[in-house]
Amino acid sequence: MSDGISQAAWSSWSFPFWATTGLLATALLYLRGWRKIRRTRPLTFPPWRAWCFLGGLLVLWFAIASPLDTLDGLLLVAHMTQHLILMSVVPPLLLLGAPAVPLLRSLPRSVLRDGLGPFFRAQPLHRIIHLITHPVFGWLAMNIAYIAWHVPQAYELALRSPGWHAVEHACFLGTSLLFWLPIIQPWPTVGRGSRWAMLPYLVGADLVNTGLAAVLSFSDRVIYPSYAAGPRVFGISALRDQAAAGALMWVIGSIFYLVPLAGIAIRLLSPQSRRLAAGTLRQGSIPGPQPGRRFDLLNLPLIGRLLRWRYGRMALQSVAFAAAVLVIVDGFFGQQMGAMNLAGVLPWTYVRAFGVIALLVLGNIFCLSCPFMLPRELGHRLGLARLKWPRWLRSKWIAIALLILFFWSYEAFAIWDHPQRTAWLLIAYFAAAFLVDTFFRGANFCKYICPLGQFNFAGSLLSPFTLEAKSHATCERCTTHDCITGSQQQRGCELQLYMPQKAGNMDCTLCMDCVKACPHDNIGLFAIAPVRDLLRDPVRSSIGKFSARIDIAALVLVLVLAAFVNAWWMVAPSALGKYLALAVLLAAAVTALAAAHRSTRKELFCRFSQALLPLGLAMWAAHLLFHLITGWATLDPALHQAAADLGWHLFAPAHWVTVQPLLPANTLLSVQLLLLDAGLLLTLYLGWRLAQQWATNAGRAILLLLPWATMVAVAYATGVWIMLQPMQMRGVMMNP
Amino acid sequence: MKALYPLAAWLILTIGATAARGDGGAMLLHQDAGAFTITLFAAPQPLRTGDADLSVMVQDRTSGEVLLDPAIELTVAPESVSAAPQTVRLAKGQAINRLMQACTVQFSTVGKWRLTLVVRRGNDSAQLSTECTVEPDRSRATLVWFYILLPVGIILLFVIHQVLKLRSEGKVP
Repeated sequence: MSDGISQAAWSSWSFPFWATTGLLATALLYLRGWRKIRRTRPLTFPPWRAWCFLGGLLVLWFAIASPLDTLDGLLLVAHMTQHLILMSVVPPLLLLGAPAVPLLRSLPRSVLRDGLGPFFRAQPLHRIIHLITHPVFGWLAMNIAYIAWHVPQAYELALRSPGWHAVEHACFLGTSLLFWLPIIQPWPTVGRGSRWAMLPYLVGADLVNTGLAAVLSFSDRVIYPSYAAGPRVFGISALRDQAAAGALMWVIGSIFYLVPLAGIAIRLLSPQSRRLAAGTLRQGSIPGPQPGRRFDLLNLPLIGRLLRWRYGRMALQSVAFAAAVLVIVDGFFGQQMGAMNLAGVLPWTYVRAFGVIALLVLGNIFCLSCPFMLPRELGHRLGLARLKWPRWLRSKWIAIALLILFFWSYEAFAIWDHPQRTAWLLIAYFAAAFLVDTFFRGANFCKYICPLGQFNFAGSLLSPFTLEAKSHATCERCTTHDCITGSQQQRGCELQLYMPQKAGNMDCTLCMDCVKACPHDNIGLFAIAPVRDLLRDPVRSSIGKFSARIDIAALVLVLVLAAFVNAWWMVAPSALGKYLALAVLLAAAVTALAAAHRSTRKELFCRFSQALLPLGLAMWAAHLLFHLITGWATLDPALHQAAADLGWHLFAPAHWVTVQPLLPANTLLSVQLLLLDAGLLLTLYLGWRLAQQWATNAGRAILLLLPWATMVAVAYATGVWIMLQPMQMRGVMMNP
Repeated sequence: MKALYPLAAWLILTIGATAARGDGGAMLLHQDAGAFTITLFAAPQPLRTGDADLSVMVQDRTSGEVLLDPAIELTVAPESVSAAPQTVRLAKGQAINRLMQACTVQFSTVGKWRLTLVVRRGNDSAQLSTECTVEPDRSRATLVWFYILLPVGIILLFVIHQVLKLRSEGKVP
């Protein structure tokens, strides 16, 4: 065999994306849990346990990503080596890491207690566990799987079908974990039966292995036809390959059984070891709950420093402002085809999509870096802001009207395709922000007028981070309340969110004024469960109770309905919105009527409307992601085009070519459907939890929820249908 | 509760073992031609409309040694409809198995297709062809059904969760 061929064979590595991601995630979870549990049980969890577990994951990855996997269809010996690793190397290493408790301890306590707890307490599951962790079951399962998958028909099926091949590997690993469990007895497992029983246990498994290996080694014909019919590589005939595979199973496979057998025998015969082993088992008990530390984004080195920096927000706003100016200039003086102009590309393809993604993974990043705030700051400094915003205008109704007007005009005037109109829209925005906040005190434009801001406020109710006080005791002792009143160096919250009573992200622009103003460094940007905000109904600073705010409920409804109508417009303009709105109102009304004797209709309407938010935001994300993924490469030529149109000779001329979408069509569809699935499930979960708050028992809760849930299912089905339609390629230049 | 810990760990770890296979797929053709022995693999199997991965291994006919550097061209054409044939040059970089060369071909219609391979190396060249059947693509439909049924499964699991929870709290008989 030449060096070139050998080199080519050894460079045949694959990168199984999902398996690699899964293994990495498992490693991170284990390490997190291991660190937690090591604080209370350093003797039970020494570093070698972590090394064993991580080593097991690494060897597992090697088995499925190395040339062993690539060559398994050509060489039986490669395939048998892979199986040997999956059955005899990976399981003991993983179990030596005693992974059960660290993996579970890595999960949030609420997930363990409320999510998994009921399952853990279920008796049928206990019985199943008791059965499958019994040594007899583990022995039979492993050996039956081992023999069954080596029957030629099953083996050939796995060679032909990647799906069955994956099932085969899962069977080997899963049953081998059960087989090795009574041998390793990872903490907190307690041995069942005598330890002496492990000797025949291992000898028996070795006999089965020897039998199969002998069949392969001594057979005078090729047992698996694929290897006989396919190409032979490295000059090995199919029969010799088969004999080599048998020898490998026989010799190496036996070593994996006989070494632990010898180890167990020696331990059993040593009285000192017996005492130590018994002592270790007695030590095993479930550790008590540990007070969890909250993850504060502001503690991160780079992001935290930027957000806390006095000029951090201004720096972000300046970049956004420069981009907005460029969009306006190009909108007026550049190429007037939307897909070739920055005004058609930057706001509608990029900013919208990134804004919604940011809401889902981080928070209200758009308002944090809002470009419209810079001229408003200028207006503030003129010192003309003496008027108070009228009390009767202190609601979301103006903003809702403007939001509806915007959604309608966006389609009616095809703003996305007319750069000049986009430029006018931005100018109007700048002017409105400047005028309102020049003459009125506070941040009234953000709080009561800005439609974009309201979209982000509502969307941020699902964001995984929120600004909160680190310690309420510190707030109680505080006498200056700088977070809201401000100090000489730093103003307080202009949106009147008083930190001790602030709950959730509504009306929060993430401006960080409160963080910078607090003299006690008592405010953090903490990770929270994304739906937590919608499950509670406390009295919120400057907002009141959600259940009393019809305007906020209406805002969420507009956002949800617009998600479907806007996406529908891309595939087939029609009157969907009207019907869907009717459906929502009808369901809300029916739900309210169902429990009218127990509570007010207004409360039910408000809370159940807000519960629709996950589905609406998922629809927005699925829709806007489509434009981002298909038009991802448009910014570069649009920039070149803008420079050329404006007479700036900075770049080479724009090169307009059709570029493949960032993701294949089926992958993009998967992501979109997964988003909708997540939205549906979160919405139904919220609905169920809300229904439980009103109903006296589960039956009434189901009755209360049913009409509303039916409407949600219809909306979800509509969303799926829309995603399956060919969508207009807005913002994408197709071979002009 | 202690007894359930192994189950959770077992589930998490077993999922990690199911990985996608490398290229290759099922063997469509294994034949001697000229100075070569040529093997053509195709994935998915059976072939369906849409993209398919085709990989070719070329060996020296007399010694059986794998040849890494031949120029390979593949032409695919439907037999039933008059469509222009696609000709693609295979590349080593596209194959995970570096002993092969691979390409992606799009089968646009259902039915019989003819695949013609031309292999050249130095002064030697060989041509052979084979037929294959392309079936309708169900991957999109499968994918949509999977994502529609996924929430149904999770909802069922949640229902069981709630029943267990309410039963343990004594709210359900």
